[in-house]
Amino acid sequence: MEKSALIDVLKIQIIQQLNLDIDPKTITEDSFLFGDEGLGLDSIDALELVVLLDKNYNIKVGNPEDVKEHFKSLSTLADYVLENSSVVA
Amino acid sequence: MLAIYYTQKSEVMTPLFWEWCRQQLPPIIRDRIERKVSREKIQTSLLGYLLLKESFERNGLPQAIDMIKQSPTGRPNIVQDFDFNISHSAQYAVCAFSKKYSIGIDIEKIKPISLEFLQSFFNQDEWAELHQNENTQEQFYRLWTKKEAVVKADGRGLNIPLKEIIIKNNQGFVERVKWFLQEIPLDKNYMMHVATNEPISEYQRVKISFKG
Repeated sequence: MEKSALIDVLKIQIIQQLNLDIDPKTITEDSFLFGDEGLGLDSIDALELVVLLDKNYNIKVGNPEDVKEHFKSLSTLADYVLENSSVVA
Repeated sequence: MLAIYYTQKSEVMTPLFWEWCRQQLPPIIRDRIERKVSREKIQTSLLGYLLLKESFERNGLPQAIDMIKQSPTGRPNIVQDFDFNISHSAQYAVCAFSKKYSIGIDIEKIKPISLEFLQSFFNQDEWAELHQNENTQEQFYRLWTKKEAVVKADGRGLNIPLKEIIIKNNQGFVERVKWFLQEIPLDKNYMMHVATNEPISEYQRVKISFKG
């Protein structure tokens, strides 16, 4: 799958799984997922993302430290999925 | 003394009310809050800072809101002889304030989470304890808000691996620093803990209703 197509799918999955009141059009691949800017996700949301990756992409985030590096933006998340998923080729 | 101020978002809050909220805060805080894209998150952040402003005013510090800086890890602070910390989840915003203690606070709405995917985020003892409990979900939020309160009191934010925060009953340990934890009852659908650098003998829980 192309990265840009995966980003569009991830956007929708994140908005649904995390029950966010966000218009997908307002977020870009470089929007921050956590912190003051962008989606403003919190730590419980981070756990929900881990669950989402496991359920939808069969990715086990074994090391919680990986989260910090790969969950920065939709772009870094998509790279992580493309590298690690056995479901998305 | 430790005070916990809290407020609840409601459906009756109008666009006019939210505009009033914005106007209460210094532009530097307002701009930071409004860099988020979720309206709900912007609203609860506004309420959190409004509570902070209110707590400063009630404690004789009306100018303090204009002096807020952000630590390199993102924790808003003022180098002064008092401490504060804000948290929000779903409908609630809370703000802890003290002239005596260093503090961290965390509130979370108890909503179902698929813990079976998250074992790697817990120590062995924690995992065992979660599953000994009749209400695993509630116990998870109890443990989580304790850890988050400690992380926030410590001030280094998520730079500390969560597994390195050890919770033993109502005490939390980061490296060799000990924090004291208190569960603050507020709403049966939420879990809240406050962490302080000394045991607290009493605290005040104060509901604030903003009218605009």
